[in-house]
Amino acid sequence: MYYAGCDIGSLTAKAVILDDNGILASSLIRVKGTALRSASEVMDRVLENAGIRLDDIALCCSTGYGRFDIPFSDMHLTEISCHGIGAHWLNDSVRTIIDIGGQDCKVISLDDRGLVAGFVMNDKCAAGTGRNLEILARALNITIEELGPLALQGGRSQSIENTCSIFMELEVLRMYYKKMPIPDIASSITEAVARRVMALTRSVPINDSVCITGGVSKNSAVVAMLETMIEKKFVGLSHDPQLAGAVGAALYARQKSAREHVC
Amino acid sequence: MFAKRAIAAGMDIGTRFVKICIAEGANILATEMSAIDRDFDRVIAETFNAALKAAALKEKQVAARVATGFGADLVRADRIMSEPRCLARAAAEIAPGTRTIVDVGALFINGVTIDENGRMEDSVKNDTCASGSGKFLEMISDALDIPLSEISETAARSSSPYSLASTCAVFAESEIITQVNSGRPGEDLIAGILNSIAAKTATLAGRLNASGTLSVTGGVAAFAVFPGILQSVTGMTVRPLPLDPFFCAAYGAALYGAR
Repeated sequence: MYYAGCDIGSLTAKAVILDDNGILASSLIRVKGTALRSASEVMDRVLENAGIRLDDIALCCSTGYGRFDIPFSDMHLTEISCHGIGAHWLNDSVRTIIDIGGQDCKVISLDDRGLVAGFVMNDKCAAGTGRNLEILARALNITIEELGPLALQGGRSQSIENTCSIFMELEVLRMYYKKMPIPDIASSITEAVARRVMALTRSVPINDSVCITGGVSKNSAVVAMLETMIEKKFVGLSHDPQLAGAVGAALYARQKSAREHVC
Repeated sequence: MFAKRAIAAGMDIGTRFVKICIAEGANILATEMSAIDRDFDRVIAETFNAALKAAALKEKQVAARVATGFGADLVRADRIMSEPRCLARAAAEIAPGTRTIVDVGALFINGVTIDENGRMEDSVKNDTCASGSGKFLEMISDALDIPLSEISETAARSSSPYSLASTCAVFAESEIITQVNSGRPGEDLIAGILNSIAAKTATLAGRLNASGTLSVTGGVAAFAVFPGILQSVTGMTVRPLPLDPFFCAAYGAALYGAR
């Protein structure tokens, strides 16, 4: 039997196919004009990677902010639950997840079964999200992919005082106009964005074994900065951490199917 | 013989534009503005030289340079004056009796109250969050691919302005793009954006305990429909200051240098 999880975020769409043994295929694309187009395209890709057809999928679960608009999914679940299920399955020691996506940022705490025990989410303000990083990278005329390696070369970072992405951009431009070295500005940017993420941990503290998921988990400098701030290393996951939500959705579909067969 | 009045340059270094005003006493000799880009120093120098040329002056004839605005400390100047003080100084000169000004710029909204002697009394600024700032107009212009020069007439055609769900300027941009993709009419989106900016401006004006007439200036006030929208949102009489809305702070800065 095949099960699919489809995670439609604000910047990327992810899909994962599971069989009864584990992950069969995955796919990640940049979002298209509508959630439906993103979902159709990422699903076509993952089916192609797995070498199966949509009809072969027993159940499909969608998640992410576009989860309501997907006609081929049988159910949907919040990305908070999906990240919990997914991350815990990818490493069962995980008790806290820091998830930094394109347009939101969350800290989720899990119990020993991987169920959500508490969470805090910022989805009202772009500070501390992937978009925040992208805007600040663009102010330096570099891509978000270039930002991480540059920041790791940076020496002295300067504190960015503003907490609004747009005003942070102004501070970055001022640094640029003052001819501060680009690696130092990049380092200041990652420090500022990490500080916005850390602000969330006042409500949900970091416990035990913590992992990072979402697109920003690919930014080595933000990851290193957060590790310094929480004073511990993130534990690894056995699959791409950006896919944790989609993996969780697929697992949920598989559990649901198993339960229905028992009944 | 009359005493020679000093010639001064006011330089308003905004977040999007540099505005330069050269004045002899209270008399404006030239104004010049340019968009700021990555080549910051060159843009400032070229704009300053263009203003000198327009005023038919040599650099040494300018007795003082006074800078204001977000980037005031990034340019060579004899003095830096805050935007609220420059706005108050300009208003006292060109529209004596003005008591409340709001300057709606590309990112910052400055509100200023002035006492009966023409001195600045109190000021407020949107300094924590860019929600409802002029940034909203820039992004709608990009999203709809219509020039800023057509914003006013387009907004005037709207019969049901869109109401934005997002507060954050970054998220508002995604929301607008989604609305454009789903076919919502551009005029309703633009009118909605102008309403958000007016609402933000009204909130700031409210913090000033403003009453009576609200004088409006700044780049956003250059959109002809904006004063009317602000009037309906605030319930106050809104009137534009009698000076090109881009140059009010620069003129105020020049006045500080000219005496």
